[in-house]
Amino acid sequence: MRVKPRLLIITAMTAAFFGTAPAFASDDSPGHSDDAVPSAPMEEPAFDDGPVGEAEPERGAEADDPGQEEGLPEDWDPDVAGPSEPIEEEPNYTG
Amino acid sequence: MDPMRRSLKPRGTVGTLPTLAAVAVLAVLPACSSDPSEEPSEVAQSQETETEAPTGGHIATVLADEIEVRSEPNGSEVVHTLASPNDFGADRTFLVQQTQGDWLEVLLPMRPNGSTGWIESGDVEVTVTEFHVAIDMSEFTFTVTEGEEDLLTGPIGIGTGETPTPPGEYYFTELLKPSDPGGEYGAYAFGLSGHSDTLESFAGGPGQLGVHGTDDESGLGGEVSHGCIRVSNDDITWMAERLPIGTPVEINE
Repeated sequence: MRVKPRLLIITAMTAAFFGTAPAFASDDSPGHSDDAVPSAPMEEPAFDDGPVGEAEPERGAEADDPGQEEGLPEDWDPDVAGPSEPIEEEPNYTG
Repeated sequence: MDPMRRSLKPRGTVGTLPTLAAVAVLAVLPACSSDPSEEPSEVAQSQETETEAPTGGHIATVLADEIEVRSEPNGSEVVHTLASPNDFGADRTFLVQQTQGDWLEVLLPMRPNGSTGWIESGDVEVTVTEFHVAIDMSEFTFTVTEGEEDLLTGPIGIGTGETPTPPGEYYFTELLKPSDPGGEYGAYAFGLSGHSDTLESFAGGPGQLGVHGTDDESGLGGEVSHGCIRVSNDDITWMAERLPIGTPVEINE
């Protein structure tokens, strides 16, 4: 009577341990993903879909699409721009 | 069942094992839940953000009192030297188009519209914005987006046939607050990097385009201006409270 419940409990704990171990492993490892996730989260994501982790930016396409931004230098980590304080001046725009 | 016998048992035995088993079962449940599937979708979402083209842009703000603009990267001829702050007292800013090593190609606030030049990245502070303003002149509407999300849309007034608003890619160069919200420029006025194709000067200025407010909403939805984009005072106030200098503005026919 004592042995059976205890044996069942231990069995359940063992199964639980081995059952959760893979889940914990997959949660923690960013490299577990098969996708080529850039290794440097500080890299600017908004510039092109070029490889961020590589050292040298592409140089061959800079003149092809002036509207397309190429890779930033690796040490860049731009802050988000905020709204500006308005200047109390009368405009001289075309109106 | 004998209380005495029960009391002689190690304390951790009778109550502990079922408790541990319960804890172990509870530990299994999250692993079997949808959390693992939620995390990949979040990761996928972040991956999508990194690989999709941005709707905002990168803004370069000049650090010193002036900046040299070159025709090409890597120390070519200096074609412009621009002061900072600009004529209105705002920090000189540019919208970055592309980079090449330590050089940035930027939109220039000068004629002809769409002019670009190269500046050194060390001469500016680069910030990023996800805001974007799209002007649809055929529909007489504007839309402000942040990333993929539309935040605000509203009616606009555009240039007349004689003084049309030129389509193109621009950015906000400064934010001004006129003394009279009921005046010609409304509650606020953003300067644009572009200029009129028909007016070399206007009101003592160089024919610079702008996006400004108006309290006369009867003009919205029509061709009423000398080239500027007019929006309601409520809409320009909303923009002034949120949109940074350097926000890209796309004007479409």
